[in-house]
Amino acid sequence: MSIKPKNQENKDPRENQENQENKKGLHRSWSHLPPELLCLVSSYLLAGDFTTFRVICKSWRSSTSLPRPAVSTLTDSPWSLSPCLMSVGSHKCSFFHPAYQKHDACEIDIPELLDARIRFSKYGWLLLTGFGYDNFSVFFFNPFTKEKVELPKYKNRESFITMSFSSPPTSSDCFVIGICGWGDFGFIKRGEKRWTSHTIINRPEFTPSSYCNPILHKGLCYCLGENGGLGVFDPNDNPSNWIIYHNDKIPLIQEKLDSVHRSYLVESDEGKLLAIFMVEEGDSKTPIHVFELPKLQINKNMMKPRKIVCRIVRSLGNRILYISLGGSFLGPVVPRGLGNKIYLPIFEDKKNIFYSLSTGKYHFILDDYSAKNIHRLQEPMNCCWIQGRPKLILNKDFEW
Amino acid sequence: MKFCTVKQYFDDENNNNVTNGIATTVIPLPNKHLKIKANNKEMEQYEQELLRNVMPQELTKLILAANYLNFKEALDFFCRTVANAIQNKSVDYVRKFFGLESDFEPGEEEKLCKEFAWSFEGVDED
Repeated sequence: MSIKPKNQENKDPRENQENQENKKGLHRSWSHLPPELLCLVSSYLLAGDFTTFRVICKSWRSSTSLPRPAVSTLTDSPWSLSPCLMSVGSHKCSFFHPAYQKHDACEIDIPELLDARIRFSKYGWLLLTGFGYDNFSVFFFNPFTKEKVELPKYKNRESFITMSFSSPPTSSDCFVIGICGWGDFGFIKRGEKRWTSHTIINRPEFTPSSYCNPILHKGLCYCLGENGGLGVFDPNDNPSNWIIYHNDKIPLIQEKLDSVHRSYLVESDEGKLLAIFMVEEGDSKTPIHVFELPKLQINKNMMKPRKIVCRIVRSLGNRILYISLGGSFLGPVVPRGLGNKIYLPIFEDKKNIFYSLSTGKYHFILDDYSAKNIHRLQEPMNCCWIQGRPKLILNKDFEW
Repeated sequence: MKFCTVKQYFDDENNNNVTNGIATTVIPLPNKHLKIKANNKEMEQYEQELLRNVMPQELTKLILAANYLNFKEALDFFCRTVANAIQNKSVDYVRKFFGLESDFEPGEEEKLCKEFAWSFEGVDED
């Protein structure tokens, strides 16, 4: 039994009563605010703050189910420099950013993209290929400024399976690489009028992955292989000579070759390369593995594949990883609650899916549902992350 | 157009929504708003002042008044101020600040916190 000290009991009873009244009044005013006004308040909150809002009390939570007013367009917002997901539908392109948690936050009509396929995105530019008979067009497109840079057509029966480029098309050292599969690839440098074809010399154990675009990093080209290996070559010096490395952690995460169904290569902001593997697994294992590749000693005379020790990345700290076939980015986080997660270009019922490294599961934004695997969900065809850039206007007589 | 609604309000005797004190705060807003619209820093200062002097009980009345008067800029401004007060704060702090209590069932709240555990990291100290 607790006994209150005497001096507390003798406190002015009127003051206590007043405090109680104030408290009740406060409670009444905030919990009884009309739901559409509560919804307006919540529309200014992003990510972690938005979920805090939903957990306060029942009336606040139910106000969030009302349609949210659009706050500002993605291109003008503070997040305009962080990647947003662009998906090209049959009529319009829609942009999505996880901080806004609202699919179709911004829709733009871009007719130039309707018959083209997005291959790679970096520096605010998209690399696309158009369909054609016996040759197909390759071009750069900037969806923010609507500028287009046409490249010479690629005349070859085989089309590219994966593609990448080194720098913005406005820079003089830009070059584009396209891998056809089975060791054939083509590339073209800025200023060249024709594509040059190459074949990887004598590397029977290595096949470039058909799901992962190569990455140009510090002057060299890195490419993940079908079995999780890594191929590296110097595009400026004998590009057919690929040095092959085997990742020592791959045998630990897969028992069958075909359980890795997606892989991605990303440059981290610290100048390192990360390799991400999505695995189709049962409930017991981790669905996504992230490895940091070590600094490689490139010995161009190396004929046999070498084993490299990769570091398992268990946490991204305060950064977000955005992955898609067309482009993957690792970015610092601004809104609270979005960090240490991998955002995927997958939607179900217009809700975006992300993977949390701390829980080891897939989650839906704005929903309570979480799952260990999502193999039943497809990545939409023409959809990739794109990083906005400050607007640059091309000269009128700009040529590739 | 905005002042038509104000006139209507003053003619409406049975209106208990907006007290005189609130009216004096809301009415000069359009002028002030136009003056300092360009200067973001001053807006921030004004916001801070508002937060210190008015929060939180009066702010609900301000929001309701701005809504009733159909004064969109003021409404957006007040809602943003509330949102800034919630930003980066823990659930407990927000509840205390607005005088709210959780009315969830005990199991329900636990379940919510568990599902959204990823969003509760990195809050400011209470």
